[in-house]
Amino acid sequence: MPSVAPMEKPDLYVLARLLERLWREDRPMLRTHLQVAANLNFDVLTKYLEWMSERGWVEYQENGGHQMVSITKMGRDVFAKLVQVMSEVLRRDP
Amino acid sequence: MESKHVWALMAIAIVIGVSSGFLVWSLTSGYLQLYSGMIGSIIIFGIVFLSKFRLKKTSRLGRSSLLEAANELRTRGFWVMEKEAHVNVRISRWTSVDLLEQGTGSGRSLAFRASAPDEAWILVMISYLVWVVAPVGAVLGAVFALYSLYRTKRFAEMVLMVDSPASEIVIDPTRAKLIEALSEARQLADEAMRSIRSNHQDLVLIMAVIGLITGFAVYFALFILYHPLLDPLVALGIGALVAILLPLSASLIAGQRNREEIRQRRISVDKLHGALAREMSGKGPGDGEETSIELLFASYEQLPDWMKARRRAGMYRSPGTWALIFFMVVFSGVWLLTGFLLLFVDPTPGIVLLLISSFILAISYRLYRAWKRKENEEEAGIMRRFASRFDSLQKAIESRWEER
Repeated sequence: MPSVAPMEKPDLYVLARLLERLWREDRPMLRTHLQVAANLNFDVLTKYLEWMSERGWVEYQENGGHQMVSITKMGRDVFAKLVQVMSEVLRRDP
Repeated sequence: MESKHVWALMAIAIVIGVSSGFLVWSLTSGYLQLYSGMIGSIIIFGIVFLSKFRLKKTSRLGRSSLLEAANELRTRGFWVMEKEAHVNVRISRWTSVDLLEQGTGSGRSLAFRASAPDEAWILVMISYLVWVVAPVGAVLGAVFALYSLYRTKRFAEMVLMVDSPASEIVIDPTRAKLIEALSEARQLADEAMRSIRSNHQDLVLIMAVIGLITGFAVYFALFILYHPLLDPLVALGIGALVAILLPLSASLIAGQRNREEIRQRRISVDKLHGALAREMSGKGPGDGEETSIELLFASYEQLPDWMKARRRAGMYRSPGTWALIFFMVVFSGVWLLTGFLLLFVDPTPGIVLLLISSFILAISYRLYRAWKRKENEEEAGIMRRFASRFDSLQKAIESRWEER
């Protein structure tokens, strides 16, 4: 991983976008593909992936010289929780 | 007695009162066909929109079957609202249906009741206006009611007479939650858009009433003041022109003001609809395209605007209350005008009519104020609940950030 300044507090919105992109993939995803799909610049993406990797939400794999990234079981749980949150927030009848 | 019963009683009293007035008038004037058309339509409306019709050939029973059907319909893109006693499904712009449980001699069974979206009730009110001036309005109302019954019957049979769920596809629980949240967000966005459109319709309807009353007033004034100098047909033409121009100009002005806002809301609705269709087919967004969770976050940010739009829409949100206020204002307006004209002919009944109509107008205003206060309090409560739910649930998510 290239070294970038650590992140203080991530933006929930960006985290959600990245988790969703990874959640949809059955196989590890190319970092560059994730960058294009999530429409983030390289530094921001790196910071977020680093932050998520520290918490065990994503993991890296090398494949033919390319760095791949995939979501872990814990990452899937966090995304499921996020969707649950939004579903409950937008429910009109409490 | 619950408040809704009071409203119902008041509405029934007004209908009986107005009908009695028409009966007396029609018996004395000879226009009995107008009165019979009105009664006929009220009976047809009552049968169609208040009766529950049992579905005989279904093995689906119980509240869970209704909720199951609601979920199936939601994933098929229908506008579904779960209420305490029934599930309301919008079939088309002009028809909706209540699916419900009904007690029978041999236990419980599923039933349906014809209903109508709020725009349709507005159409009925307009047809009532036509009804006041021509019996053809009653025919329009009756045709609408019977058409609603036909559509809702076919729809209920299609949905509830299936023995097993339509879809056997197992959906990932997270995707199912996404579909549920997108569906809910789409309904909120759609409601906001319809509320803005409804404001426009409310204004046109109110102006149509004012136009009708003003048109009559202009006609009578010209007829009385310039008789026999002015041809009665010319006076009638001027009155009709006033009656048409008022709602038409109001519609044009309001239309221009609301067009951009409706366009913005439609973009949100379309995006959410597209995402919903995408999730249902198991596909993901393309590169750079907004993801489902992004759309849900965006929906949350737009909630205050959506709520504001809803708050501004009176008739759309509380058609019953507004129908009551509407009829009270229409008839008190007509009586006010009649009372004023009678002052020149026979002052005593004129004064009585003026007093009665002023009293009804005052009650209408009180009803409006009470409704407005209640609506404002409810909306503030909804917004507080949305905000507190988001805060507490965000904290629950953030607590996981600390877990390494």
